Amino acid sequence: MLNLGYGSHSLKWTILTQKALPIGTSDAINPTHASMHGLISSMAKEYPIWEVRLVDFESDEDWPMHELFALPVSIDGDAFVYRSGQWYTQKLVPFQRPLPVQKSKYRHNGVYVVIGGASGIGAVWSEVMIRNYQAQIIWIGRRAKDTTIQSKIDQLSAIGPTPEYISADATDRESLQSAYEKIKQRHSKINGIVHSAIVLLDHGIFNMTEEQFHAALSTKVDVSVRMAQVFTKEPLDFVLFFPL
Amino acid sequence: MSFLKSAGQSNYASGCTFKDAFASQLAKEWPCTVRLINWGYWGSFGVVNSEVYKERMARAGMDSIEPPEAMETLDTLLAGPFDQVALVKITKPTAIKHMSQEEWVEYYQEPFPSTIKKVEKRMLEKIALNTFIPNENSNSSTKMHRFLCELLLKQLQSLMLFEEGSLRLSKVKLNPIYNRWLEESLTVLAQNNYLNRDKDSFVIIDKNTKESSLLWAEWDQHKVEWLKDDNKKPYVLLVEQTLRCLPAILKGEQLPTDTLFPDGSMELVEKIYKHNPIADFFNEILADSILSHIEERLTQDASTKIKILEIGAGTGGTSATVFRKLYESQLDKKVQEYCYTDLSQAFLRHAEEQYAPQSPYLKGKIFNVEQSPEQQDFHLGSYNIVIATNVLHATRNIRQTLRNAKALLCNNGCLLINELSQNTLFHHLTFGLLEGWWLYEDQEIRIPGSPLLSPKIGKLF
Repeated sequence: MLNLGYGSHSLKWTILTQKALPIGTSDAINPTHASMHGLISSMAKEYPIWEVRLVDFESDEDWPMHELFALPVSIDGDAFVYRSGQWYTQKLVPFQRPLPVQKSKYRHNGVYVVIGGASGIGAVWSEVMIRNYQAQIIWIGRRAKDTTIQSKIDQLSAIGPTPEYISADATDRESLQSAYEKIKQRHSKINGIVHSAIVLLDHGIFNMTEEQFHAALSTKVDVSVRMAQVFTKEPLDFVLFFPL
Repeated sequence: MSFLKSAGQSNYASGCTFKDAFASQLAKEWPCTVRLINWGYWGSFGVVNSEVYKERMARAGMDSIEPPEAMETLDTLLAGPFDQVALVKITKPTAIKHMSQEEWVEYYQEPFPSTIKKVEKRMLEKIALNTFIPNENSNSSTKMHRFLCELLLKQLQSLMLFEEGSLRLSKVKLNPIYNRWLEESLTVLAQNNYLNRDKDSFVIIDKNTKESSLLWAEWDQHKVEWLKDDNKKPYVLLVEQTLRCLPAILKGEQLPTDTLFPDGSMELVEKIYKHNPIADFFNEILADSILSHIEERLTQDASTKIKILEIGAGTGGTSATVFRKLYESQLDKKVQEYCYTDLSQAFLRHAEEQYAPQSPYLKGKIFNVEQSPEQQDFHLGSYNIVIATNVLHATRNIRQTLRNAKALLCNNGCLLINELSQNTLFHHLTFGLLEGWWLYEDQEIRIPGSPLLSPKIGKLF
């Protein structure tokens, strides 16, 4: 469409998903189409000339069509979520005071797997865990172990247990499964997993190749799903997701 | 990013919104703790670690997150009650568009476990003992209902609202504050086969009805019997008053408040809320729930001092029962404060005269539950019990109302609500004439045609 010049034409979009966004802890959803919300919302910001309505419905029935088209158009492409006759939007609400920590979830000498942990925030977290909890950290990364990773390992082994590095493609079930088995050969139990993998390839939609789009998306979607499949039987203390 | 979904990052934003939704679902399905943190801007590494970028972020009011504070937040996220938090460091309150400026979340410590199970158990036992069975379909109720319909229609006709037995809602010239009231009146009359409805047109079905004077004479006859029933008496007296004054009220010649409270007297209304078996029964249950909460708290900590706040205490229909029960059980000694609140000073004076002498812990204070308690000089999280009888429905937005009420409570405090759970013509013809009845803007979660709340509001928490 952009190739045909629609980027400079006014267009009206109404995009509907079903049970893709949760409005509360008791709202069961299916996240399959949740990524549409990121795409459409970002698109709305790139093409302010387009009017975008983005809505998540609850079920097949009772779509309030008259209300749907009366919804205000959001220039940011923010979603409306419809549940039991009510419309919801997402909002951030600040904490007034820090939360008190009564009992930390971290264990001393715990075994923690960090996907995408050899760099960025995952590495920061790893360092703290090694220093404060003598944690055994296992990084899973797509890269083959190189000198940067090795020097990071050397650096951290000075403050606690040496982190391990397993080169595996976490978007691929078999690859992640074999990484899991490797871990289990050496450690009887895994205490926690952190998903910290990230691929940033910023471009406008017009200039973005399908490969670039897929690379960033699959680091979130595929890794999340494979992680849940592969580690499902492990008696974990926690799973942590680190999106920016 | 899951919130910002910036231009130029459609791929990454897509992944993030998926991840948010996925983590939320995983948290429901997996037994372990599943948490997600949406990081704000980390300036210390990666592609954004440049002076130009830092300057751009600084102008936008964003500051860089540093590892120690990030790790501290993670620790609290993992141990705390929330599944998802975003950590952003801002230097301007408006740096984030989607952030609420008026509201915030606070997490109070949980020194004592919840008493709710015990309170609930006792409440159910008490309800099982209920000695009266309100029968809405009894003969006399049906008869009264028919009278109310007929008298309502007569009074509307007397205002010349119908032209040759027909009325169009959009053509009616009444004070707009009565628009919703009138529409509901006509809807009820149509449901009861006095009117035929076609969209916004209403046509009288039987044009040969009794004269108004004859109808009132019949009413007076039946009234003698009704007044013998303590359950019906206060209702009959009140609804007769408003029905007789209805034309004057709708024309704006008389205020509905003057009708419900003639010469400022609270007697007519007060009797709806106390000294009749139904009201007494529910007030007793509420008061008993307070006692069981206090007892439970005392077993947890014998030195506990209890603070209670009542929203919209009005004439004290509920308060009087609570005071009596506290006294009888000697638990009154454990009560540090009973904050008797209402919108109007008149009710506070009433409480001062009526109840304060026997209940020294009483403290009167103006409070509007629609507004932030903090701004009204209430200390947040300081009350063990908040009670509200037939008042929360009279607010614009029940979610906001409940949030404000909840903010007064300490952790594992108890919010006790008595509310009508059925819309009746009686309520429509009396309290329905008050502006407060139609304040509500969230009709999806109200009982149709009224501001009343169905028990499903429990789900709003």
